[in-house]
Amino acid sequence: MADPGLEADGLTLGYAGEAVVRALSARIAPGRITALIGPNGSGKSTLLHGLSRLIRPMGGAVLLDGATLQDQPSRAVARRLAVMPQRPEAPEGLTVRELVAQGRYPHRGPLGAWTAADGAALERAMAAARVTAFADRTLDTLSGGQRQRVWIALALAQDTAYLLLDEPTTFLDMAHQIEVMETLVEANRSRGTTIVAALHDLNQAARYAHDLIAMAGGAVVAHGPAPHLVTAELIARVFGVEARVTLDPMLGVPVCVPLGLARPPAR
Amino acid sequence: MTPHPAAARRRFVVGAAACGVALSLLAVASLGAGSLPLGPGEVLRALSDPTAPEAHRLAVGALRGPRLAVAIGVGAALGTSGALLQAATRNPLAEPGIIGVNAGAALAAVLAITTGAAASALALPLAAFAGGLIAALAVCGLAWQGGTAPARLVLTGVGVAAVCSALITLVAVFAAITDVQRALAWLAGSLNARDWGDAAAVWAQVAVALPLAVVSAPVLDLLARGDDAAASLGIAVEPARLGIVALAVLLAAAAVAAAGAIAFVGLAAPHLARLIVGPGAARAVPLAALIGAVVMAAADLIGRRALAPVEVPAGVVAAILGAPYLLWLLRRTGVG
Repeated sequence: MADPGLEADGLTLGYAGEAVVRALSARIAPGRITALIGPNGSGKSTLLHGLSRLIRPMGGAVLLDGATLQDQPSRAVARRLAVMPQRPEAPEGLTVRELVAQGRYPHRGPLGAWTAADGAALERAMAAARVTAFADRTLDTLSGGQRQRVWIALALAQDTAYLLLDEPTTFLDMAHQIEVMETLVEANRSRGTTIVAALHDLNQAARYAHDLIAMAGGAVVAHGPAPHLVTAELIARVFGVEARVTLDPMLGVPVCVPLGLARPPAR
Repeated sequence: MTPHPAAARRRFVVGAAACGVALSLLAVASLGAGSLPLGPGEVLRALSDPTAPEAHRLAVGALRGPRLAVAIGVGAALGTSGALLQAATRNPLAEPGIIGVNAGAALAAVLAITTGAAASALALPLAAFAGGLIAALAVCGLAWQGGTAPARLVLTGVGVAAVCSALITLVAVFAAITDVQRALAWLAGSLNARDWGDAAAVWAQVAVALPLAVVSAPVLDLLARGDDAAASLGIAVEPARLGIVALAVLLAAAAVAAAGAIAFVGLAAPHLARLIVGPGAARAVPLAALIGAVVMAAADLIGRRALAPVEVPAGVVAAILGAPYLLWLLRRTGVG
């Protein structure tokens, strides 16, 4: 039986009655890495919020495992799907281990007993995100890149089939961006985690994601495997940027070099 | 056992032990202090030996004992209540007063006193308890717009408190001066003339609420990271927050019914606890209860001795001594 996966069905999302994403339908292919790309305000974050049950749909529905997400208890959803927000926060003074342990919450019993399985999952998640070395330090003593890996460890500790991330690389330097993306690729490869990430860097998206969803104005403009999707025409349409797209001869990955703003008719 | 960092666990043990020692010393001093001064040996004898002088046993068992027990219970209730509210509203300035409990209790108490309804000993605490609950319900109801955003909850609390204090002033203007004086004394938070019934009432609520608060520590830790973070880890945010606020309101109402409006303790005790053991609620909440108990017991003792034989209400002492200490602490550590 095919995994029904995570699906948006005629989904309309917004804040305070104002729609940001309109009647959007898309199916996230299970077991793959999907990157959401699009300019600021195109609805990437809003879509991620909707897909993770953090906002209630104004219309349509999100289906997880074939059932409406909104009808499933939040604890059950949290065992299937983890989210890493754009700017996660933690109170000062919490150690990395304490914070990552919070990822086990949805798996714990009614009295919250901490089991050996929780401990094993915690250590596994910290190892996968390579934060074990500073597990006993507090978050405020870490660099931006280390902190980002802690948040990824927290999401991995949830042991979910789906991992949704809102711009996990935006505020990091190049090496730390690569580190984050490779952690995600590794989680996808070794655990089969389905990953959906909003990314700002088109080349990064094309390099690491299997599928791209290009968004503009709250709608999907294109959705498909990265190599076929990234074209000069799409970039002009989605970002309003004139670009040259070549295929990297070694990796077979599309590489985009922006040339300038596209002329108005292209928008 | 969740993976608590060893350092924080050690600090919790040390902090809790220090509170225990401080409470024991305060208890002996407090039971010995008064118009019939008793040394530590006499206090211990009065507690344990039925052949001790009758006057000693009366002073310790019937007069000073319940007063000390109320102070400890009220302090623990306020400390726990403040810790719960600060986590649930993500506001380090939250305290029991902020959700209207103190203001509502004060208004109800002043009304009860000035209308003569508080003639019986039981009526005043009951009125205060009910007033606190009603005001807190009003705050939660007014702040509810399909959910309770923490900032809206706090601001609504400030508004309701302002209305209550305006009404108190209005009542005070028209009431008989002796009634106003009695009401003011109550508002200042005095522990004068408490009996074992008062102590039992507040202790019973602490005994129920504190274990509940400790059990919900993981939920508190998640709520402290924000609604989305909590929701994405499987917390039903609104029911959880309302449950925690309800627990905090009950504790604060129990405290205000037993001792009148006492400010600062519910704000500072959780702060001090977090400075010692960090933000983890499993340690910070019980330590806040202990610190609250120490602060109240100390405030009552100081209030009785500082200007003896005149008595300064414990609530006034707590604010005079504690608030500057908190300000100094915040400046020194840069905790925001």
